[in-house]
Amino acid sequence: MKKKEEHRINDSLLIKFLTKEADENEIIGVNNWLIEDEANKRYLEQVKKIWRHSEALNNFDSIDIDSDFNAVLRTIEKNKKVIKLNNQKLFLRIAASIVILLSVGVLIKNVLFQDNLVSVITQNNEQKEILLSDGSVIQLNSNSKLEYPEKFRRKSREIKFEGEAFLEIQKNPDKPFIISINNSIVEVIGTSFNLNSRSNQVTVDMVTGKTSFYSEENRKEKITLLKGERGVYKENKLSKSTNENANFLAWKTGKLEFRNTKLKEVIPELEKYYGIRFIINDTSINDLVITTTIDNQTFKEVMDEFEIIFDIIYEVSNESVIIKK
Amino acid sequence: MKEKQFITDNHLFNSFREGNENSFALIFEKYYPILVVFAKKYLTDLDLSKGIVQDFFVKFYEKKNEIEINTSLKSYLYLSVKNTCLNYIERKKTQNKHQIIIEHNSTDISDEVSNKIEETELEYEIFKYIEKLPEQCKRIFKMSRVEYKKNQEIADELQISKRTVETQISKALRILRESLSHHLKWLIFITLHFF
Repeated sequence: MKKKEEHRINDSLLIKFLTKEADENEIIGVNNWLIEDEANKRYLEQVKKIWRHSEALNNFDSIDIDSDFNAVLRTIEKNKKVIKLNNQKLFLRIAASIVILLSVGVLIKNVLFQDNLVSVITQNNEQKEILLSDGSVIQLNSNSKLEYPEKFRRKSREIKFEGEAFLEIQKNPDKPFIISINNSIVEVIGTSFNLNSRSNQVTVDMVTGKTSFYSEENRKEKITLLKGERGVYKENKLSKSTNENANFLAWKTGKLEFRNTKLKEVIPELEKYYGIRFIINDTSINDLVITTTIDNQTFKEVMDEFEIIFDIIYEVSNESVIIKK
Repeated sequence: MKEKQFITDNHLFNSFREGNENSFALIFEKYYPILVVFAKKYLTDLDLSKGIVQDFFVKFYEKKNEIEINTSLKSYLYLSVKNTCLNYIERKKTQNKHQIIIEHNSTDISDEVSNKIEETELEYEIFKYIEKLPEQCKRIFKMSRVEYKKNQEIADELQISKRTVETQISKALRILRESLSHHLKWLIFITLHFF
């Protein structure tokens, strides 16, 4: 109870003091009261503190928790959408990047790696000369097929071939020229040769330069062919011999030369050159020997000549020629 | 709100982190006003303070899984808002200059911060107790302290004597002082206890 007494001060005076409405005498009165007791000082300090801080009431009063909470929730919702949108954008960006990368990849592949292949086919009695991008020339015989890129790859020159052709390959040690022909491969650097894949075998007849010849299955086992040599790939076997046939380019040159050649050896050349089948009734005809040069002559011209030389008779029936004595 | 106070902050925060939206609302309800008043001690403008604290709560919600509280939710909130305010001031200062902004990310409580927290706590207590005062007592006290009206003006407006005004204000102060005596006395201790 004593404590309360100590703090007693005229309400009116205290308020006037706090609101700074007190006059000089009243202030002296308050000071005197303060001196009376330390507790009075503490009391005034506490009241002043409350007085001072009660100003902040205004702040609390002007805070609308509900409306501000809704504002916070709205922002959170908005941010969620933005994040979603950003994720979508990110996804789209990634997707677009992938598409672009793929496109560029395909483009690069097309330009650098994937060959824009050209196919050339020759019909019966048709020959074609093809100039490749590296300057090599391929002369296609009839009934042949060639597949080659418009532009060669960086590291090698590759073509596919069936039939017969004479190839003159430009020399380029950095870019070997590789020919795929009936499961065999002819690899050259610079050379010219005749290539034939007819009658179930591949024949390479060298004219100049050097080539490697191997099968697709066994790339390690190679044969090297030089000028005048013949390589044959037949029934999965590679063989090499000297080319005894001087007329292997007849289809190209139109020239057939025979020197002391037996008719049985002449006949296949003629068959090949003119695309005709001979039927010989008398086997003695086979051993007749001839020395002659056929230069861009028609079949009739040639056969008329043979009739006189060998004293034989020939008859054309369908696609065959029958030779009789 | 009163019943809800029985839920501890720890429990509230954990449930908020587990995705309980209601817990977020409760935390906001409980701390938003205090934090705004606290922020105003740094920013001086009330509306700005509201905005800053609202932004803080948005972040608080969005980063709830990254938040680590080592002390108490209350101290975490106070310090986060303090750092947010200081960062805002820093940014404002360097707005048109290409300067490196030092991010305020302190978990230390300086005396200055401690005082501001203490004041905020007291102000909130005053606010709460004022609400409990008898209607006329409350009204007169607010007219004096919030509207800064002189005793005579209040008396004239309410058509009561000046003496009654003085008595009512004095009564309000006495009730507040008695209610807050423990708080006033132990204020520093309580504040330190929280952190």
